[in-house]
Amino acid sequence: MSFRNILLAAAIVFTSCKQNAHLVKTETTTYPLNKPGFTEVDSSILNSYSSYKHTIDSIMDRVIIVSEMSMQKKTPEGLLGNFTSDAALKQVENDFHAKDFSKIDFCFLNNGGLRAALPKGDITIGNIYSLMPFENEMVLLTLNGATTLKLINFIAAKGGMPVSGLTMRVHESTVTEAKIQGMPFDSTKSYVVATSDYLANGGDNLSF
Amino acid sequence: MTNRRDFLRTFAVGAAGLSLTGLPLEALAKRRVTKITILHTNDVHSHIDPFPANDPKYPGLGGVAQRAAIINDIRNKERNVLLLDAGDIFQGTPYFNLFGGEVELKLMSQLGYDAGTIGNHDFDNGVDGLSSQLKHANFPLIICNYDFKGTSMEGKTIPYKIFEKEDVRIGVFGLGIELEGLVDKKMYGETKYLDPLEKAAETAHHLKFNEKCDLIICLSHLGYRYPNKKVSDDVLAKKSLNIDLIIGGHTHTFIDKPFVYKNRDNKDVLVAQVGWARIKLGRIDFFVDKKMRKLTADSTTLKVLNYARAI
Repeated sequence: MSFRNILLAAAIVFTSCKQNAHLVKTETTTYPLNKPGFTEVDSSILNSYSSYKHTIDSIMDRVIIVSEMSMQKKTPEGLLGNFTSDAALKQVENDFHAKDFSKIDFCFLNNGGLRAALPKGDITIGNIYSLMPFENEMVLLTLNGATTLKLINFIAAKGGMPVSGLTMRVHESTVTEAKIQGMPFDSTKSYVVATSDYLANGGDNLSF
Repeated sequence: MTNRRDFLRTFAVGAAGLSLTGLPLEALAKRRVTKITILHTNDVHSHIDPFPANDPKYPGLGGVAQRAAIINDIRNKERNVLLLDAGDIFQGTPYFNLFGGEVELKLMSQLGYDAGTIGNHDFDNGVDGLSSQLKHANFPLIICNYDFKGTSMEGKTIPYKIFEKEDVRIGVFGLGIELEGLVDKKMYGETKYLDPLEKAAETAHHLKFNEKCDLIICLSHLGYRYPNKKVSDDVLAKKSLNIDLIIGGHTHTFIDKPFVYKNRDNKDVLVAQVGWARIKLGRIDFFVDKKMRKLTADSTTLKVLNYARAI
């Protein structure tokens, strides 16, 4: 098998004279790897990780649900972000319900934390690991009105983040309307917010 | 010697499209020119198996064994190959969650990587999670703007490395991205981030003038470009001196043909990056003449015919 459409190369001739050596020209190439139908592999490499692969596959190949459509991330909102933030909120509510924690107002995550799309059809444990590989923990924050407003503005400035329980109307990066659990945002209230420890600790430049 | 003849043929094809000032083509072909082949990856993110066939974006693409086949093929044809990675080796598949980086580093060692640098995700199991895995790597991690003093990584990285291929000295140094705001403080701990522009200037100058390197390569995890003024390969290339090639990462940018920037001296700097997850492998061939004092020519674009064959 051969790559036929790979190779456009740039030749650049450098034009200086001070150094003892000269770059006469450069050529650049990018190799796409194994397009569908291209199957050349180095079997010694396959052998050297086969025991790891076996362990992984035995865990990861289990199908946990079947999805009717593929899900990808988008801004200001996408199916994948909506799904993951809804799921995270639901799970946190379940976990904290037993501990009699007060109601959680909304959940936000970051698009950077969603590392793979989810396909249509069988969803395996492996898919979920690829989607969220990070060993993060969910945390609950109680934010006063002013800080909540900063957060809402931050989400708008980002061009949108995966959220659940929060709806916003944004015009040219400015928030014109925000509702939390269907109620207009109230700057005199404090809100209980679920997010990842990564974001809570200032990740994604969330520095306030 | 077959190798040399192959190269001369390629070179003659390339030179046919050039307009050379004051240098007959035959003279050029007879000069002592050394071909250096740089292969590069970035943001591999623990992708060892190809993407599954039902992946919505990259069905069936990638795979370490597939990459190895291509690399072996290139090594069989070329004498002077360097294989480099620009960071974020870790995180992205269960191989990392379950084994902590061991599989990634062992396979990179087997593939014959010559060096890598450190990306933000390489801290995902903390500084200790990185340092404890280094026993699985037989290649150095090169970085000059992280100060690991007082951490378990202290003494385990080098700021630069010089590779000698035939008569050509190749200086490789590494730059990492600012960790604050990107990586949880408890993960990077006491690691100090130093100004990448300053460290790059200092290191490249040292490589050029003290170490007499003919070719200087920066492995960068700064990211290709940002809408704000955040330091990036774009900024570095324009402000730099003495760097010939920046192999980038972090932004997962697919650059099919490296961008040619002008540095502060109006000399060319190539900026490369090949997306992420082993979907692509980058290749740059440098032709270095140790004797030539002056050459003026235009740049051109050509097809490289001899690689299309067996790969």
